Amino acid sequence: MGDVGSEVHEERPRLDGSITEQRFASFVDKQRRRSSEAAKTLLPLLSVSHEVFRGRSAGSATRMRAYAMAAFHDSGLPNDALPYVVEVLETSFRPNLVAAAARAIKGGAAPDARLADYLVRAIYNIWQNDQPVSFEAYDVTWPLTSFSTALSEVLEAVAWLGPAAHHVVPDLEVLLSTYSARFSPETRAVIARCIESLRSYAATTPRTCCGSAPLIEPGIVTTEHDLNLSSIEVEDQDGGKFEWGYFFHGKPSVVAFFYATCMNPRKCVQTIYNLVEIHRGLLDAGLDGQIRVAAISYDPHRDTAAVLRQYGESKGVPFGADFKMMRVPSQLNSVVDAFDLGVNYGGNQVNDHRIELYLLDSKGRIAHRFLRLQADPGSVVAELARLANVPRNKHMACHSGGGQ
Amino acid sequence: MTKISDYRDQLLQQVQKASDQLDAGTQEILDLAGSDEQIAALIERLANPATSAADQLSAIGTLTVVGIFSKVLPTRSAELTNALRGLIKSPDAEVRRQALSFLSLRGDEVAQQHLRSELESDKPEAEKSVPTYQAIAMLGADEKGIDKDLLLAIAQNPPDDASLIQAVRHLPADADTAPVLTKILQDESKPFAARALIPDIVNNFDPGGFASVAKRMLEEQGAASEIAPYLARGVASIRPHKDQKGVEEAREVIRSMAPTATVLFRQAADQLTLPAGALSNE
Repeated sequence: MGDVGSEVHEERPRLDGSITEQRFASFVDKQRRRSSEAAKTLLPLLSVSHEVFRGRSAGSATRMRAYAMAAFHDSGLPNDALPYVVEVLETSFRPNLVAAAARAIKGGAAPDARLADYLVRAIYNIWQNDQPVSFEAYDVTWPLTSFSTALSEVLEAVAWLGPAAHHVVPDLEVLLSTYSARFSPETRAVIARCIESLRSYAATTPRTCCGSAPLIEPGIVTTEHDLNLSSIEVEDQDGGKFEWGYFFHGKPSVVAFFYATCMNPRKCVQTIYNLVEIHRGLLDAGLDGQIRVAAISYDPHRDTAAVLRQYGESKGVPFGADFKMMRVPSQLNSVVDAFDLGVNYGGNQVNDHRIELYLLDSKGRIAHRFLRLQADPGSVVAELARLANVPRNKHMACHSGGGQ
Repeated sequence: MTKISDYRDQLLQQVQKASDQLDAGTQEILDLAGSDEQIAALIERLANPATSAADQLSAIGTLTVVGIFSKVLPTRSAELTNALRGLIKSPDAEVRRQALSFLSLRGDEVAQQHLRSELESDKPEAEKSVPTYQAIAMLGADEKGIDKDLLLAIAQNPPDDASLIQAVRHLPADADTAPVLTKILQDESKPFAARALIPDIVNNFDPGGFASVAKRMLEEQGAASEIAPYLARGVASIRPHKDQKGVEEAREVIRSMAPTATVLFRQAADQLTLPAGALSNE
């Protein structure tokens, strides 16, 4: 790690779109020591919207972010980093990022039982596209003579959780019994060893359930912060143009962000399907006409009005006066800033984004946000009913926040 | 003297022989596809630096075929990726091309990064792992494999015609690209294969602007020009929008030219069955 004294005086590089990937990696390497200070330095690099990822291709941004995330294995994983780790395990199909998240877990101070469920879900995201990974250095010479893979990193993390992961033994057994043919003999052996190791622990840790705090909390926003977007121009799926305030003031609304060319089935596609389900829930709850629903594109260049309509129709969006898909043709930056959106771009192309759904009150202020994981539609409808001052009915009361 | 029946028997024997050989080869592939040991050995051979280029190519070819239907190969994706990444810088040009093609079609980040770096570099074309046009095609297999600025730079300064065609094929239409694409469309010194792609790219980004250019080109060059059917089709595919006047003028020109034009042009003109804006709900 070098002389600590010299590190203190070394000038910190400018972490923006101009830094080379190698210099970025070198900066991350310097934080790879057991230190809360190092972890604190790495933490901002987990955000997809960090300026260091701006202007880069999706592949480069992901690789850099994965390298930073994996470094928590050495620095120690603070609680503030957990939402990012969980988000990756739940939604990412990129083997190096999933491997990095799994590796980071092993930097935690103590095993957390709730992570085991996310690790098992991550297996299903990557099992058909397992890849070699290496976090020892940023640039490696291929082929590697020995390497770990995303799957092996995930399984190692499950084993590391020890007694805290005892409850996922049945899930791992399903992998070996039902899906055995989907794994190489070596991977099957790793799964079997993982099961054996977990079985050796007494089931002392109960499975996470309703009583445990979720790893990602849906956020109720208490400040009455005005978004100051009233006069920006918005275009809907029919080419109709209007000011932001025309749609988002006067009634509470739910607004999700997406883009039509997002290839991740856990993100934008699911977001839109959920929005349709939320709309259906609003109708069932008798809130027809009281709440507005909107999906706003991160990519106004490609998502023209015609694309929005076609995309929405393909997902069953019931377009109408209170349900629109939109793009912000020339002032998207204002929207990104106002919501502090978790999105980044290479050129004008989205290179990464998080899942984000917001509830706005009738004055157009953010009242609630569901970030990183898909919001449970029932919970969203319940919150919207609260915003519209409608008592929760029995149907909605059944939902207790799953998915967060 | 050979009888017709003898000749027929000879032919049937030849067909049978060819069929037997095909079956044997097919069986070999099927056996390989279901065998973890054989697939692992093939991948190992690929990763071995002592393997000749010919054997590497043969192994990549076999794995490409097997990859279509084998349930075993996906379980070895990490080993295969590791081996193929090692061939990206092979001294053999065809090995490099096939390794990069295999990987980039599967969205491999290492292969993509390598191709992007070379496109961004000022390396002479002959020193690149694969020619620019192949690199664009490989990166273009992934929606996010190549960014607009890079494509635009290549379109404006292509190393060859094939690269210009590939750059145009993958460029989106927006405020930055539309002027460049429209300029290429009007430049008869540019390859026709690139120009013919452009009407369907830019027509709905700036319908009025494109219709005006198409109308002028049709009036100047006539319906018999090579580009005319593509211009006509581009105008016919314009979706209804607010400013239809310029588009309607171009449609009128196309209609007036159609009776004496080529079959291709008439087919494009036939798409003008509805007046512009007829589908508009505004």
